Amino acid sequence: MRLLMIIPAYNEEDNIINVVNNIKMKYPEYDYVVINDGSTDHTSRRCHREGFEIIDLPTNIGLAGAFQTGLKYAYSRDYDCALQFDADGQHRPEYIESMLEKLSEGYDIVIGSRFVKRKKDKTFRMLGARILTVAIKLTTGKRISDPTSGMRMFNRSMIKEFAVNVNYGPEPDTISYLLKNGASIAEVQVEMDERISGASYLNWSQSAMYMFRMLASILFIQNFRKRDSRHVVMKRNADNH
Amino acid sequence: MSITLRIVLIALSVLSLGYVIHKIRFSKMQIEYALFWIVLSILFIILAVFPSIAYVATRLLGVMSTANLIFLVIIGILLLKVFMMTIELSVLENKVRDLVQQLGIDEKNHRDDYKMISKKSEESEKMKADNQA
Repeated sequence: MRLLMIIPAYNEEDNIINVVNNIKMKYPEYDYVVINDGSTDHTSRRCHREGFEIIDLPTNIGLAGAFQTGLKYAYSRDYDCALQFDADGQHRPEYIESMLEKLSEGYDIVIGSRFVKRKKDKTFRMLGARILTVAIKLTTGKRISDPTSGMRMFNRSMIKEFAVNVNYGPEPDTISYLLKNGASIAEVQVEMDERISGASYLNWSQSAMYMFRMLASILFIQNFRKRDSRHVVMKRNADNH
Repeated sequence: MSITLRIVLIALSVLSLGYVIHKIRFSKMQIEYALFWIVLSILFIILAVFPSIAYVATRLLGVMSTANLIFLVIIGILLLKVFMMTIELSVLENKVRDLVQQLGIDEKNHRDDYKMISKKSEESEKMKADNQA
């Protein structure tokens, strides 16, 4: 299976070199692409100097848009599966293999979960993840132990669906929506590290906003959505001709 | 309604139409978007010149006072406008995102093509040199 690791990076000059070099040296069998989401620091220059595979976006369009860029790229180069991978060193590439194995069992999405076997800590951050797990369970009837994990693997049909549609951010609400609409999602136990450097992009008020957005989306808005990927794909193709 | 108020209202509505037209001309606004503001300004002039329209409508609809009806209608129009603008903004954002993504991907494809071509030409030069030798 040809795998593309998609590494969205926004102002990650301190971490990106280590993360990518680690992949290149230890896991040369996996392709990767860095998506520089309009960084204002030296992320792009450093990557180019190292000769990394990189897509430079001329302006900042956010994590969802940056990740979608990678999926569009994966789609155009006909990859079998794609992996969302953090640029800040939280994710460990040694778990990719077990995720690939799981995906080849026929799942659409495989989530690298911290809590398949382990229990969540009693911290405030984990409270948010817990609430999202409950919300997804309520609306879909299925249990996702780590909905906020950013380490997710997508198969070929998901790459296409994510690449051509809007409102397919790599977030728990999309997971919930896809689950509800018949996608099969599995979880694999992984370990994650703390960020190597720099602060997380979510502060208090942003976390509250994020939770509100996710809950409203999972519990309410997703009920109105219709999954008509085929229609959209056909329309896009028709537009191109 | 006092005669002074009427004069003030008429003057204000005519002025606002003039202002809108002036601004539209300057900002090169698209006609589709300008239309809304011009129609609204003209509507205000008509209402200022013939306030009886508002009185009759108030009585017909059984609204308590004319001011209530005018506020209701204008707030309704504005809410609708804001809602439509949210939709337009969302469409616009999707388009900008698509463009930015395409730009980034195209640039990488060009870079990769260039790399491949220069590698190939290097190889063929090398073959030429080998053949000559």
